[in-house]
Amino acid sequence: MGRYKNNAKAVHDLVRETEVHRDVYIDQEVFDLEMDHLFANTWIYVGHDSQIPNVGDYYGTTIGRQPVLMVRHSDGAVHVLYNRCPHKGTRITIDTCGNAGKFFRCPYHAWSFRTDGSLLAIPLRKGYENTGLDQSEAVKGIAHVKHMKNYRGFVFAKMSDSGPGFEDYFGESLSTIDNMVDRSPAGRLEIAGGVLRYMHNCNWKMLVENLTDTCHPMAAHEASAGTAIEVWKKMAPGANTKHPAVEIYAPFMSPYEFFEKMGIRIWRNGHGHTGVHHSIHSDYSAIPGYFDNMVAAYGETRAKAILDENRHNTSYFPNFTVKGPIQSIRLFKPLAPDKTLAESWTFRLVDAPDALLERTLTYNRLVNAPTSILGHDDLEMYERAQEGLHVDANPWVNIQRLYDPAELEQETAVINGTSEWQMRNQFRAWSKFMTLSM
Amino acid sequence: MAENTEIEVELKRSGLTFLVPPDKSILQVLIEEGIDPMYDCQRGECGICQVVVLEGVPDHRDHILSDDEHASNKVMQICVSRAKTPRLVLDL
Amino acid sequence: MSAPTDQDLIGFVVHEARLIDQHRFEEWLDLFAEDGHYWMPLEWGQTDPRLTTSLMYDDKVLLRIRIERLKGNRTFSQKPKSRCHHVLQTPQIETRDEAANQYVTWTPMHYVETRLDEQELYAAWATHTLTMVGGKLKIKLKRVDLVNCDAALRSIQLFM
Repeated sequence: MGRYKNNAKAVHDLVRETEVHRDVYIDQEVFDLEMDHLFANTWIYVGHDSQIPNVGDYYGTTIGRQPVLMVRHSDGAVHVLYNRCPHKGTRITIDTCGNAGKFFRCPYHAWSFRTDGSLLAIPLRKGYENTGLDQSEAVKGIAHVKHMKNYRGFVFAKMSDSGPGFEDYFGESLSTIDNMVDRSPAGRLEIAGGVLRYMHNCNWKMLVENLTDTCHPMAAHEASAGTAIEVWKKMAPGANTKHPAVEIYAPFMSPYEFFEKMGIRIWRNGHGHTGVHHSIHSDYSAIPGYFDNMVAAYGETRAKAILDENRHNTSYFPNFTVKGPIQSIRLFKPLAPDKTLAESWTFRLVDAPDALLERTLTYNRLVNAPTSILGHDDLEMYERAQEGLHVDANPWVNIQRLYDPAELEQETAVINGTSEWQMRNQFRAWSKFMTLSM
Repeated sequence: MAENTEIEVELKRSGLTFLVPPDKSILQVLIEEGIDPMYDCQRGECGICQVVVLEGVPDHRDHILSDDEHASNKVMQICVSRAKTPRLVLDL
Repeated sequence: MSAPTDQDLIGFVVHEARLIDQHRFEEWLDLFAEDGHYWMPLEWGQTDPRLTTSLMYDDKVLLRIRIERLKGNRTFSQKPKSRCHHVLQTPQIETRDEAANQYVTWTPMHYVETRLDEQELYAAWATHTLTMVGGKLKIKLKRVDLVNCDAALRSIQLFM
């Protein structure tokens, strides 16, 4: 029996108005409680339905620590199932992703299940006659994750009955997903380019907080973005155009004022985004033909409105983030208090020019790859923090910047882009969804 | 095991009728005719090709059903089992 | 201009790895043709660096940025600096096309990168597409295929 299990007050006390206790990052018991409560009571991103376009297609992933699979059933609907044979526990999917055909067949004893999880057949079934099999857990088939929602292709699931429904949970924050989908002239996205998988020896929440931490780029990324600017000055003095990599890296070195003015929007339940008025994605060069495609699809006024939205990072609490203007998403998968797998996925905007996908992939490679110099800058800071938090002299992490007690009464707001309100917003949601079912 | 005889198989839901010759299984014929039935082992063991029998008496040759299930003649494994009557009507 | 011998090509590939291991990055960058690229695919058997993501697809500008960054006073992820170590099999000559001035070698290798107490071992194949420029061999493309290209990787900060 530890300090936090079945002790909602102790968990609450980890989050103060302007500080959080280090145990939220380094304590195994808190991590275990996050997996049991936080990741059960909230809507977790599972995958995109373009990963499973055909009947029988499946994709295996995790929600918190739970192995799950997303599958396209024979009626075209997407199901999210626990990736476990109800017989002996074997992972049911043969490969990471693939096509099951008309049914899953467990590789161990060949029990078979329809693609909605229901039991289809058991070999030599007569051996179960009069054994009460119909009363067993096994006969129920592959268990469903209780709640799932396919929102414009984005598949989310919630494991527990506690916590709000999908629309209530995300509310207005879905406008970021809407904007990214609307950026396709056809109104459709397709996962494309491959996934970058980068292993971080730090707590998953450090990556989440970093998304709206606008006071770090000019300091932590001087090494990468600053160097990129200097090298380009020397190699192409007075050039009118920027190297594609410099165009991506340079805005990270923008002054504090730029980030102050770009703004942050706060939503309920820990969601929020940077880049209300402009962002580091605002000044990319135009992709030939793309605007014309958009005008043809939406008309000029609507096309402009869609493309004028340049949200930087939208943080979907707890561990999912969307970059609309660059068509990429990231998922921070918690593996241990000090271990996180960062997955970075990219989309093709259906009916948009290939050059747009090319820029999306270039961005992902330059910023999110295990070989990214910008990624190296960030990871170094996370891992230094993961180590430093073991100092007993000060167990508190400060998230006080631009704090105003009045914010406790306010559910949504548009604020100064260097505020740490969004971090506080996340931790208030953290506290709420951790203790909801305690 | 009885000699194989030709079977007339009617699929109730699709309204199609096929003749299954002595040297082919019901499943084989349905696959060849493009019906796309579910199946796996083709040895009467896995139970995946099992269908509900609406009319006729199956000649059970599988290893999956119990004696009671065989006697009731309500379902059959079309990969190996045949018919004791010239005609079967299946719920397909 | 005389064509390189097989031994010239082998010697070039071995020397190139040595320059990396010894952190002689200026000399190393000089081995690349002006339009040369360093490519590390993300996918097994990847054919396209443009519409499929790569781990690296650096031209000389990006390689220069990486090298300058390694030297920077505020490059915190290089304090202390990473070190690396190559073990190459003898490079094999894949193709020689003197008319097109293009020579391709294939080199299985093990690469170790280390920093602080962490040491990572990578297995890879390097494919060098070389060309003669002004009497010297230059790299048009160095392609590094990791055996575990699609695994969840830790930081790779130097060059394979």
